[in-house]
Amino acid sequence: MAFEKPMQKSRLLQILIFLFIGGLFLSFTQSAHATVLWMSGAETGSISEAVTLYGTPNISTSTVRSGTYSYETNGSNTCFYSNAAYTSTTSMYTRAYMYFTALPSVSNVIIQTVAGSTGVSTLELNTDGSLTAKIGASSGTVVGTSSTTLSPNTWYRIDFKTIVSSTVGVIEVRVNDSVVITGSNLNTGTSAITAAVYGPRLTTQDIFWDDIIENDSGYVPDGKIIARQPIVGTPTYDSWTKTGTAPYWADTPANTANSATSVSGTDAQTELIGSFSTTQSGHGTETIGSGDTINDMVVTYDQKVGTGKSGSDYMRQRVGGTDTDTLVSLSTSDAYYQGPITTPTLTNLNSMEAGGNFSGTGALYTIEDLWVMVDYAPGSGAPLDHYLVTVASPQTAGVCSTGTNTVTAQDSNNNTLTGDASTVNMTYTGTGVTFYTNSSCSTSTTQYTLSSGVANIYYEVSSGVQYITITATKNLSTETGTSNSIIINLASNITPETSLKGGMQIRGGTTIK
Amino acid sequence: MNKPISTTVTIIIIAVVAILAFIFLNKKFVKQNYAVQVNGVGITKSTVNTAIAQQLEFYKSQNQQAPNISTIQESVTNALIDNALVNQYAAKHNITVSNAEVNNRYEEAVGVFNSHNNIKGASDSAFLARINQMYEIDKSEYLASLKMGILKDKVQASVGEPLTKWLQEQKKTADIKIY
Repeated sequence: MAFEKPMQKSRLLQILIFLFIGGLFLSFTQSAHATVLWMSGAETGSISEAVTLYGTPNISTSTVRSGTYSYETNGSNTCFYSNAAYTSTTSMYTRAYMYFTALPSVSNVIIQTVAGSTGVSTLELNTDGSLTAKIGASSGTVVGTSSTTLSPNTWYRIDFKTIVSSTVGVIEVRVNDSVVITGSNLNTGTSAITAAVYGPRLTTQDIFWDDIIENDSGYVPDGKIIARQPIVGTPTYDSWTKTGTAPYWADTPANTANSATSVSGTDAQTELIGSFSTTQSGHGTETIGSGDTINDMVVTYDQKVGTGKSGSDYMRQRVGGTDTDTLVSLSTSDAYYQGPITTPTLTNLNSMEAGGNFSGTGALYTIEDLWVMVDYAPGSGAPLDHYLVTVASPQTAGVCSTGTNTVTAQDSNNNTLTGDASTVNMTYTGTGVTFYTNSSCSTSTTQYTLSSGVANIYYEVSSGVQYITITATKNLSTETGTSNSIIINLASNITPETSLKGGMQIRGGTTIK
Repeated sequence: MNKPISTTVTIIIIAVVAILAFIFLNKKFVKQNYAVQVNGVGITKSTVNTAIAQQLEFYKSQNQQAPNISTIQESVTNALIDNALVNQYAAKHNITVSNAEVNNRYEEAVGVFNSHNNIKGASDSAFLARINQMYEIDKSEYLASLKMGILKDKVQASVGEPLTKWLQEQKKTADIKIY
């Protein structure tokens, strides 16, 4: 019988170093998605998605920035705060889109970070539309007042940063990505923030909120939150008891008409989620295109557990063929829960499933409804409208084109469609134009395929002196674009006489008369 | 006197001859029917010829003298190789295009066309007439091209780099046979 040699010290050291580095790597990768604390676009259609603090905030379908729903806080002390998916944080960056119908009669608290019930930082909207940031509550020290003023009936992106510290605290406000108030080395106390509160607190105002994200490590990029719900189909896991009709978790706002409940043992249930690249009834007209940037995703559940359960309930997300289970402690009555925040690719989003997984006995883990919410930055959501053909002029006959010569896919607002990979056919006005695949003009072509919305084009004109234009037309389609005129000059080693064609009279070597 | 050939040897000889004949005939069949093979997947000569015909029709519709046929053939062959590589990547990574996505893109394309041509409403008749005039293709062929376009967009997003750059890299290692 062979015995292994005792491990050498150097080998053991190598393994320990490897494990240490691996552990570090794992800890970094695991924390990569932990920066977003909470996000909501109100797309469940229920105010219960947030936590009501004061008054009676509503869900609006009339004034919406994205999706189908927004939060409406209409009153003098009507606000909601983030569903506490996190315990506390000493750094908070909130991104909220805000719309108000009228300026307040007196300065009004509109956003506040709190530690329990105590204000840590406060943002007020003044009667002239300016903003004032304060340390603590509305009676606190003023950090600054913006020179920028906000107007009624306009969506504004408000970023509100608070760093808790008795010596190096920071409070900063941005409006539409521009800093309007900033204060550093502040004494913002020592109490960690437990929530952010949105809504008018001191006087009556009607304010709408949409696409809110709270982050603990930095400002959040511009984005929109849209939602998709389950669709009918064959899921990977299908063992729960169903109530109603499929899809069982697609009611908005949530109700108990359709649902699915676990059975004893170890079982899981998922449902296919509607594609984000196509519209889904009840979730607005937005879609996510390949050129858009996906910032974050969360699955919000309306669910409960029965009494007498012995075991564990997990929210299950199946993305890219991989299951992720998140343990959740459920109430015995229906309530809203937020799954982990991740950042999948669009391809994986469009094939994902979500549901629950139960392990135990006596279980009645019931999911009433669920919503997959995605915060994304629009890039090329708009359809291809035309091509911009950019050309350098002049060029020289008999010489491969020089300078910047490109075809760019654009939408109707002339935004570049950065996800476009279409193929274009090339045509021209003038004579003797040949297109090539590369800058040495060695291999001719008739087509170019765009990459990230742009293609370089190369061409050579056999004869001068003339004006030409170049047109790109999408292959097997009608979208098109034509360049400005390009002057084609004679090569310096060609005498005008050798280029005279068709009776053209050339004076000064380059001018057609 | 020669020994008689055993039955076993006879069977082996017949089998070898049959295999060689199969290989020869199969190669001939492949060459006769396929213009290109990409990683073992054939692109038929008929497909290439159809693409060339569409290109010629396009130049005719634009009142443009077509480039020489070899240039067109090379361009469409390259495009078909690109499509094959995109298809193979998509199949391997479960990237699909749904009918809903295609229909959505179709409605967008019709909308853009109608907008540019001051056509009110969502009728696609003028659009289809124009497509047919430009390429001699019908709606189903147009939808197929849209599907390919969406797939290319998705593959570009999936590979995380410009599609042409990715395709160039793929072509270096792909088994591409042009007959």
